Amino acid sequence: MNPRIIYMLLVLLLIALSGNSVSATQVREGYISLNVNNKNSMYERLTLLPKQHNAVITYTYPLHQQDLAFVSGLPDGEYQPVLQAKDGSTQSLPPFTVKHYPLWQAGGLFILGLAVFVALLVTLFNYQRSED
Amino acid sequence: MQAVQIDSTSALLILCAFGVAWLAWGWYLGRKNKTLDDFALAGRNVGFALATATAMATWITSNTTLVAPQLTLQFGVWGMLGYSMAALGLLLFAPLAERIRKLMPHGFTSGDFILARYGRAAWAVFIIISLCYALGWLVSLSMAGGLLLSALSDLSYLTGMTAILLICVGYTLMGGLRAVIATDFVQSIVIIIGVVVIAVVCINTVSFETLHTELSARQPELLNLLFPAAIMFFFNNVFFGIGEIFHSNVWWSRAFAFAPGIGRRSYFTAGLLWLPIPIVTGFVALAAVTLGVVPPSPDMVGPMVAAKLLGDIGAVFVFIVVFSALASSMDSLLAATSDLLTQDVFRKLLRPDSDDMSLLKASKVIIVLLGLATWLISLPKLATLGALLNFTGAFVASTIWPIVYGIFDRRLTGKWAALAMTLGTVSGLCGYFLVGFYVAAIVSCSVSLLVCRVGLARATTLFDWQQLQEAPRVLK
Repeated sequence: MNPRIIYMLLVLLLIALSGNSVSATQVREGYISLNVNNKNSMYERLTLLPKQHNAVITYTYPLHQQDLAFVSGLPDGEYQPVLQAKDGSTQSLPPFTVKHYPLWQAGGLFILGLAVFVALLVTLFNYQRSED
Repeated sequence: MQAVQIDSTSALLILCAFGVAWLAWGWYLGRKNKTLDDFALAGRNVGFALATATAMATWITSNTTLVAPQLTLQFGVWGMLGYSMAALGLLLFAPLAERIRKLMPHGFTSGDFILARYGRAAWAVFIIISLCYALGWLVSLSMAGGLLLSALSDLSYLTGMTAILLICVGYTLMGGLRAVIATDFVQSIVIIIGVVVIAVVCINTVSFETLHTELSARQPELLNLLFPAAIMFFFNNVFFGIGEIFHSNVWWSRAFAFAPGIGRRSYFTAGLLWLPIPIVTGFVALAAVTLGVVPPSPDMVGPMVAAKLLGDIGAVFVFIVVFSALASSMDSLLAATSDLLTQDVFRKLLRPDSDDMSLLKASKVIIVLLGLATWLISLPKLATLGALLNFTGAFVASTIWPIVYGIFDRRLTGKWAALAMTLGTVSGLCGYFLVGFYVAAIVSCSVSLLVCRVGLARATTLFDWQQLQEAPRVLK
């Protein structure tokens, strides 16, 4: 393999891994496990209220007898989880922020993966051909 | 617990019926085992149908039935497609299996190959990686048994975890690889029928249109093709799957056990048959929120959605399908890891003069000890299945290039192979802890490739393939 390609792979790897520090309340994958503490089935719904001023979308999920609730597929934003009881009362959980990785960083890792995968296919194909 | 469908008495009855059936089957098949070759490698004469079924059934595991839905719930469409790419491991191993059989006609384990090809240092690193992976996979399987039972019934995690371990240790002990391959054949039929039924019911219950509308409204990122973490995950899973298969003795022992000329065809066919299964099992997770299922843990979503779709009887059906999937992998892993420890640790390090009978005894004791160790580690549920499995990705992906070059290229030496596996694993673990579980394998594989290429560029000697013909050998 050309040394320039090795260098390029190394750079891609470093780019993909750089700058990932996030605070404890930030999630970077759009999913989170919330402690709803609903063993006694007191609450019937979990609502995520986006904290942006002009937000019109809320995310609502049914709750059953469960301690934890796993929610996923959330876009970027600050969210205030609220538990809604059958009698109409509510309880707020600690807010959290979803901030997905920058696309260039994910793309860097994707290209790195593609390059290594193609290298593997070509290597196996060449060895197999020479063996045959 | 939500969506509890099976009462504890019925769940226990199913467990007992399962246990008795598989144990009796293992005992029946084990009667034919006379030598170590019979017990460990099923006489080295497994035909195409059984070979294909065992390769496919072993690869349908907690990964496919529990983790594929988990990753779909976490990463959406990319998670589902990415998981199915693990089939590439089987497809790409097909030519390797054929060559392994030719290079080492008397081989027992992947460790035999690494020792003969690369020497002691690389062998030591490889054995550590293999054992970390095997234990990680065993723990994930027993955890999956516990999770399955606690998701579908009011029996505890501990009961389910203990039951699956007892059953699998029991019939592997009685029947060896012959029983494992035969049960895999039956289990693969059960699994395929089950998965297809669940998918058809899911599509009929929740139409594609409803699914799309609900996902767009409540989980929009799952449909986003530019979902960053999911894009990162895609190739990570490809390398994780390839690394698992290329290095693991589960697949090498089958390459040695299949009759000559069978390996390439059976691994290729198994890969093609396996490819759509994670898409089908993962798809049901997309219907979770639409069906009112919000799982406490992402790895429980598959059985919970299936139970919700199929009702009370369906829960029993799901239970049988997933339990079959878990058992088909756990038995294979127990048998293969026991071989690896017997041949590579007991024989090479502790008792080089052992005869076949003492190796056979050691192999059985090791199966029991492996079961016990797995049970102890599984007691505290340390991580989700997906996170635990991908932790081992940092280890296994580092072996891909040393294995490929070791099998086909005479230039790579043991020093560089050991360095590639060590640096690959360390950097993969850094990725796991600094970024997330979805980058561990890709980082590990890339670093390992770089080290191997440097090793090839600096090579001054050529390996003599003839040395592999005499393997296995003991450490001196």
